[in-house]
Amino acid sequence: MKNVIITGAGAGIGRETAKLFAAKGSRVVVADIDLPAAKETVEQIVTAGGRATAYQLDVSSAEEWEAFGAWMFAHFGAPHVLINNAGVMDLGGFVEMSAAQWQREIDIDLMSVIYGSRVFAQQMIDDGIRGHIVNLSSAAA
Amino acid sequence: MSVTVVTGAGSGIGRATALRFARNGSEAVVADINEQTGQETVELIEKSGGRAVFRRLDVASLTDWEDFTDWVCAEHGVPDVVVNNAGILIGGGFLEQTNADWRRMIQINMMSPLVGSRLFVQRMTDSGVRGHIVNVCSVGAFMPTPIAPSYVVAKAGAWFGTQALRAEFGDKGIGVSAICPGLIRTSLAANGTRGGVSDGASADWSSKLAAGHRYLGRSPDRVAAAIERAVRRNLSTVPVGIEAWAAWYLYRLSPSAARGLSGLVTMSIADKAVALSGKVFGGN
Repeated sequence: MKNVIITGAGAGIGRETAKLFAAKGSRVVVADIDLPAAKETVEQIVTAGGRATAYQLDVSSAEEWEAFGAWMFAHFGAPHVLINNAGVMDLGGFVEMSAAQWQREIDIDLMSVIYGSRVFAQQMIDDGIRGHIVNLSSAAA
Repeated sequence: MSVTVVTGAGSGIGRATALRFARNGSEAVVADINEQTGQETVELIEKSGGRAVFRRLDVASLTDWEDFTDWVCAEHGVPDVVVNNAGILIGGGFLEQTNADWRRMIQINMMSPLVGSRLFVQRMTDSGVRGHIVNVCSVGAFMPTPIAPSYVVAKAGAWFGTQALRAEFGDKGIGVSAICPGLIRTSLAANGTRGGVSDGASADWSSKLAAGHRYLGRSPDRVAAAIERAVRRNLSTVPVGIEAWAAWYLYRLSPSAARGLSGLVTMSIADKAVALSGKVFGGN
């Protein structure tokens, strides 16, 4: 059985992707900062006969990613697929946006992809898994 | 008298830019984290009859940036040109570089030009100065290379942020330009580090890389001239050097071809090239 991790899977694109992978037979780890939302996704998957587990993750924290990596490896082994989907969008002009807003945007939308890819690419390599990392970018790029 | 702020002006592209703008009659505000090299730039400018002043700035620090902006505007007025040039190099593969390496790189090479842009554009619009922001990016913005992934991510972000700034303020009288140099003879490699190895091995790597870099790069004044041209004509993106133009056009033509070509040089080849550079050019 393939292990698939999806961040921001408590809603929207993440939730739909989680349901799709579960329906195709993967075990899905539903990661989200909003644990009740992640559990709701898991419940929908389980009700439909799939396999899923919820995990609370703040993607902007390198430490939480490291802990998540250890938890994942201990419970299910290295993932076959990592989907970095969690993201935020603050609207506001270049100068209007405060330094804190800029930092939040960079931490959640950019650094999270680096932290997550580093942790799980290393696991895939160590385990000899020919895995796949999918990063949700945006047409705005 | 116009005022030109240049970060990282203690050496390389920053120094050449400060010298050039001072020669053209602008007062240069020389900003650098290194007081000694910054003062040397001021002396060079004063010796040739120009006006310059040094102010220490750690571009990685937001409070430093805020204090710096306040000081420049209070002492010298809102600047006419701000050149965000300061930058660092960290070599090593995607996984070899630690989370701390990545954060430091994004903070300095990507966020610092955007922070500087944000603070000074605010002052320019508040005071009605039709100024110009120049962000020194890199041809790396168009080369997803495996040998310095954090560097190219940061440079691509800085380049894209510069485009967003231009889109927002271009019609409000603020000039915005991104300069994308290729290989230039600067201290970038000498001051660089290599992720994933010990401090000693990293210093050894940098010094060997720097040995080749000194011979192969072109003069930083080429970039200074490009910056002057970008300000005069309000150019959007200015590659400097044949390899920079080639990468810029290739990336626009085919991102996958640019990626394939960038991927040919892997970290193991880069390490061999650096060792060879040390042997041939006498690093360390």
